[in-house]
Amino acid sequence: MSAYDDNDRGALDRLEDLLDAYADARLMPRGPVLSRIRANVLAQAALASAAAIRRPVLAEPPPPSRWAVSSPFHRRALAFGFAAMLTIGTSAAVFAAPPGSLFYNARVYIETLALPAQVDARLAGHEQLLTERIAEAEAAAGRGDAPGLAAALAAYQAEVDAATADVGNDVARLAHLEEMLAKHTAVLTTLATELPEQSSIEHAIDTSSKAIANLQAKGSRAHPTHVTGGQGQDQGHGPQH
Amino acid sequence: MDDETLDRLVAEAQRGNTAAFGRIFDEFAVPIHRFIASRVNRPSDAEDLTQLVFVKALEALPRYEARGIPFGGWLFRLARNAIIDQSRTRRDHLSLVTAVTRATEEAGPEAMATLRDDLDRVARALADLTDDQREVIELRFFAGLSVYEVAAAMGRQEGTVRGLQFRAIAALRRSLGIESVGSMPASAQPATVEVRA
Repeated sequence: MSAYDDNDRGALDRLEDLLDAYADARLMPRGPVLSRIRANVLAQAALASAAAIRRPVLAEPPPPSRWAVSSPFHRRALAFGFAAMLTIGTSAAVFAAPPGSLFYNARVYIETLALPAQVDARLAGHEQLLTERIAEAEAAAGRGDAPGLAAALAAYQAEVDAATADVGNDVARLAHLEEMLAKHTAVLTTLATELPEQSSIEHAIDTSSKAIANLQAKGSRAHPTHVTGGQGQDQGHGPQH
Repeated sequence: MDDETLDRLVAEAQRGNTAAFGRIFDEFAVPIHRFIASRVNRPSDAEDLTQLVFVKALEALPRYEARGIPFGGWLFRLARNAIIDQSRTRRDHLSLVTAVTRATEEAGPEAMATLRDDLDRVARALADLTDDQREVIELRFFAGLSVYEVAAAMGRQEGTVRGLQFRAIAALRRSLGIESVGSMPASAQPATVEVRA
């Protein structure tokens, strides 16, 4: 904006302030929009990356035909492009799959498969997936989609089992997961009161409650003074260890 | 983020590094969303299109070459094309008039009313610009692109972009009644905009 002299600087600043205020108030993403987009985009990126590693297997040369390209480089590029299109097209369908749809189970499977190996990162991933599954269940319940609700809750239960298996014996991690599952159980209980005829909710509550009990038992074994969820208040008196 | 870091992240993302692509997303997500939100009617459309732009970027990234076109300009060109594609199918793009009615919930009742009034005037002033002028303002001020990047995104010469920006700013100042105030700092200006009769 060097075309303006100093006399206009104040007016330009004022205009910039107004445009900034307008953009902040009217154009900024609200709530968890960006994190939602980020999760979807990065999941797709991870899938594309994994597909790229497997691509040599997929990229077999096509049978010769009158359309065949003579250069080996072009043939490889065409095969690569086709495989990439196939992969991206399929992955787009998979990652857009809502609960109850054809590709939903595939999506859940891939999301679980893509969890990192490092324990804390893996647990954080489980945490995110559990939260997503609950949000999907709530959304399905909100639109009266019983198959969607059942699919989301089945995926939730599988995720609870996976998270419980991965959590190990660290007391802090056990307590954290237990706390999260308790919150989810509360959400599910609310759903159950709104949709009493949905047995899938009862099963999910049951799974979640059993997992909490397992975590508490693990915590007690790992650390006898582990106090959880209002239980064991009488434990831990006297000298420790 | 400096150009060197961005170039490195782009190169890593091209080799399939998801974390690098994540950092690129973090850098550009808000500006892309602001640009798209300024041009579509519904917040849900802005969300969908923002996601679409990054998915398209992911697909097209292997073909991106840093020579000749800055990454920001390239990414916003994808955003621009996505908006155009959507407007062809939906025929409801360009929401500045609709944006006038969007709520601004964070402030108290009185401050909110004043703020909403100011912002409505800005929305109307933007709606009065030509399409090209408005796009330059959106890319320069809402998305924070340089003139070079705006030129790349719009497929125009830098001089053309500067001219469009100059005329757009003059038109906005006229519409909003913002006169030259010498070297008076912006902080000393009245809180609200007086619209000229």
